[in-house]
Amino acid sequence: MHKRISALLIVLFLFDGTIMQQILPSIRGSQVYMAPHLDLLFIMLMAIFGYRNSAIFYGLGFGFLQDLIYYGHALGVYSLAYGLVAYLTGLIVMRHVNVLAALFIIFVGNLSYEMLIYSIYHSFLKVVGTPFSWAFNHQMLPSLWVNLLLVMVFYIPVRKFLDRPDFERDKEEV
Amino acid sequence: MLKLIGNKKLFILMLSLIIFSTIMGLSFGKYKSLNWPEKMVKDYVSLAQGWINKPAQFIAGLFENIHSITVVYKENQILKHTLMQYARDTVKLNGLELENSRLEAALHFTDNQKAMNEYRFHIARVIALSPDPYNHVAVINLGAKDGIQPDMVVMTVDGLAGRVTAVSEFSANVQLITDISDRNTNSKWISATVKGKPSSFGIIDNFDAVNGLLVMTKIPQDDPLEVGDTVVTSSLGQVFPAGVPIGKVVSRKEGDFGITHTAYIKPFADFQQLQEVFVIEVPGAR
Repeated sequence: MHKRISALLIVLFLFDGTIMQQILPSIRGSQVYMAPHLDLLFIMLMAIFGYRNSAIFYGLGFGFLQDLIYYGHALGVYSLAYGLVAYLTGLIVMRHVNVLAALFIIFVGNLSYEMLIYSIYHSFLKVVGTPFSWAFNHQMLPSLWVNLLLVMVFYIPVRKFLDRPDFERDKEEV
Repeated sequence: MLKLIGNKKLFILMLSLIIFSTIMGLSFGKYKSLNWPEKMVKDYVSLAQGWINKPAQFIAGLFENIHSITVVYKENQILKHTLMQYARDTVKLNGLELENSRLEAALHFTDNQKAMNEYRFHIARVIALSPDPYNHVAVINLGAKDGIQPDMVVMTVDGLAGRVTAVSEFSANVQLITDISDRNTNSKWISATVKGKPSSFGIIDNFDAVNGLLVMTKIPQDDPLEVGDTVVTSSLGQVFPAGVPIGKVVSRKEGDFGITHTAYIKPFADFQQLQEVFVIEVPGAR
């Protein structure tokens, strides 16, 4: 089971850096940036469907992979963000959720992820100079919409994939 | 002891926050040379990224082709006109080259200085762009085995794009010039001049992300730079080779302290559709 999930996550991680960058439209004349993170969406879906503890470890692992491959300013930013957001998303879920609730939880999780990344880069490392209102309107909101669209497209297939009886769910401790 | 702290999960959360803050603080600000596990991971991932990116770029290119059919006729006219100008310029260039080689020989230039102006361009494909707006990193498919070293300059057909930072065997990370900032110890400022006005001087030390413009500061007050000029690199900083076009001046105003002027430059390179880049190797300079 972990082999299949790791393979799928690796493919999604590669898609992030290659295909999504070519497909997502770049709006000339403005600095709007839509950041896809398909692997984070899959990890959040894992956390929602009951694999909370594994989701944390996958989050840490794939966050660290992203840190390593695209090393820009510091290591550890994305591992912290992926791990924390995966854990928080898992915490919100109490029992089985329906589609709308899951999408809303993912929306909230994405929002907290974007704000966490922005605050780490802006306040802690001080490498990003754009003000919060500009970054919110031009970078965070477009990324949120794009990721929400992607989740809506992939929700049913992922649920079918993760609902197999031979995948062990983690025991829930509240 | 855990009873004292109360909640085991809270303790783990605090501990992980401390550990991650330490990691971030320790690894911040230093472009280190990569150790072998990092190189191995980057090489495997870059292989896979290269396979996936080729069909994606092909498909994106198909859409570009459909759009450009509509402008081909106009382009053809303009190209014919430009070709005639090039033919005239080539004749002039041949004459100038002959004269230059005579004068150089007469001055007994050393071999090093002669090699300084012959740049070797390695063409590379961009196999991945960092999927977030804060790390401006592109991964190219040339690495140490092709002779790429850190601090080599990367340009697209249009203009300057970035600088190589981390190199592994089969791939390299390129820090784009959108990452240049005066708060960041990792970015190298570009010393620039204006094409055609070699007495002009300025330093590009910031990128205004809100407008997408490079900020060129420390321009002397009586500098001949004007709006609409093309800014190129001068080799004064010893990092960027001379003559690489950077962008077009959009505006010029008084600097922060009133002593120098500041200009805003729109870069020529299109950073959201990077596909093929050239890595410039300056033989004999390292």
